[in-house]
Amino acid sequence: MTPETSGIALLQAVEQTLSRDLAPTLSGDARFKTLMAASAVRMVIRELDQAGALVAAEVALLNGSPASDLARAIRAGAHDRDPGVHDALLAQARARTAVSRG
Amino acid sequence: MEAGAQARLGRWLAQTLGGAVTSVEVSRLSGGAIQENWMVELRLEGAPRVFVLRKDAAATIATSHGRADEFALIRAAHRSGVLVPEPIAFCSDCDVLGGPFALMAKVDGVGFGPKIVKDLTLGGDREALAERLGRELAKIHAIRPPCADLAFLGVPPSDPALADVAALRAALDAMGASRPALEWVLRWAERHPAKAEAVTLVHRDFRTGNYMVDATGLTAILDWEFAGWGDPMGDLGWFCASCWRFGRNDLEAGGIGSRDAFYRGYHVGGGVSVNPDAVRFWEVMAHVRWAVIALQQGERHASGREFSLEHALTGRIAAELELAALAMTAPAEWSNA
Repeated sequence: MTPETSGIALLQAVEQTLSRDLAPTLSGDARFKTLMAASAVRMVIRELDQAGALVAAEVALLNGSPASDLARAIRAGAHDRDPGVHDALLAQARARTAVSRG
Repeated sequence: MEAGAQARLGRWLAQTLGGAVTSVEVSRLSGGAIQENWMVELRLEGAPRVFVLRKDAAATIATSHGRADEFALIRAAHRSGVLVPEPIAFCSDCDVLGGPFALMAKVDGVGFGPKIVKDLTLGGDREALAERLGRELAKIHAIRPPCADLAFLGVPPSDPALADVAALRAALDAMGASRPALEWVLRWAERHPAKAEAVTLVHRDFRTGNYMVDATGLTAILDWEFAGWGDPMGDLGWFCASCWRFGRNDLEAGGIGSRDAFYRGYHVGGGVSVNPDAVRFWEVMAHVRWAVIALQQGERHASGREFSLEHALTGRIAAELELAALAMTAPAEWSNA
């Protein structure tokens, strides 16, 4: 245990400040925006927390090539019915959804 | 609204409504960068009337053709018996309010999708609501090209499915977005396009969130700005797509009712015979189209053109839409040919 607060722990503190301390004191648009900001911070926390899984999913799909190469190849029909590509796309979409939806 | 504008509006109203107009009161309902909505309360020959005035925001006059088109679409729908806010008049004279505007009857009700899905005190009996929405959709699809009043819609597409595939690819390219998952789904769509058995007027945004209800049932079909000629099955697919059920995945008709009830209403209303394969195709496409729209909104923030945390977060919805669309287009769903 170090006396310094980690980056993720700081974001958690920001999230609680927004959702627990500020939002209940606000109404209307200000409350909506504060809760939206808290939601965005939670998303960033998940993204940092799951960075390893996100990178692994991207490596499995692209193996270091730019996404634009794969996008072009799929559009050109080079991966029609390709189960390997479909599995890797699904895995990446799952990893990204775990971040965006929680 | 400033006093001069309100006085000019009062004179225009008297002329347009053809009677003595008094006690004009104008209040802002909502407004953003693109569009303003005002409530206009007045007495016409002494009788109280309430209207909604829709106008493009001053900054976007270049796109004001949109309001005129929208008014023409609502008028065509109204003539076809669709439950829409009654279109009263359109003013293209920019001297009145600084830009064209449409005047429509004010309709009461709740339109917010998540609220309609959750709050069962709204909308009356839900199976009846789903059936009613099916009947309304059938009336929209009864409007067929050519139609002189809707000439601005252009030539009907000969192949609506492939036209949408091309349009969505172009939208991705215009954003510079490389989305292999969406490309996978679009390639599936290109290989398995729904064949349109008819081309009709289609609403193209017919979903929970774009109609209003009160405690007893439907009060109006809204948001006509995307309407055009297309495959009527596209509207059924958009309405039933899992991404527009607001958490009630069990209620396949827009999160508010059964697919059977919705289709029954559509059939009773004289709709085109329902092709389940085509509807499924359009449900897949609904996820891609909503993902592209979400990315476009996200891009408005990401590009620095418009600061909006809401748009930035909307862009992030694309991931879950890709996941759902990929699941619907697994290799087993592809034909061997």
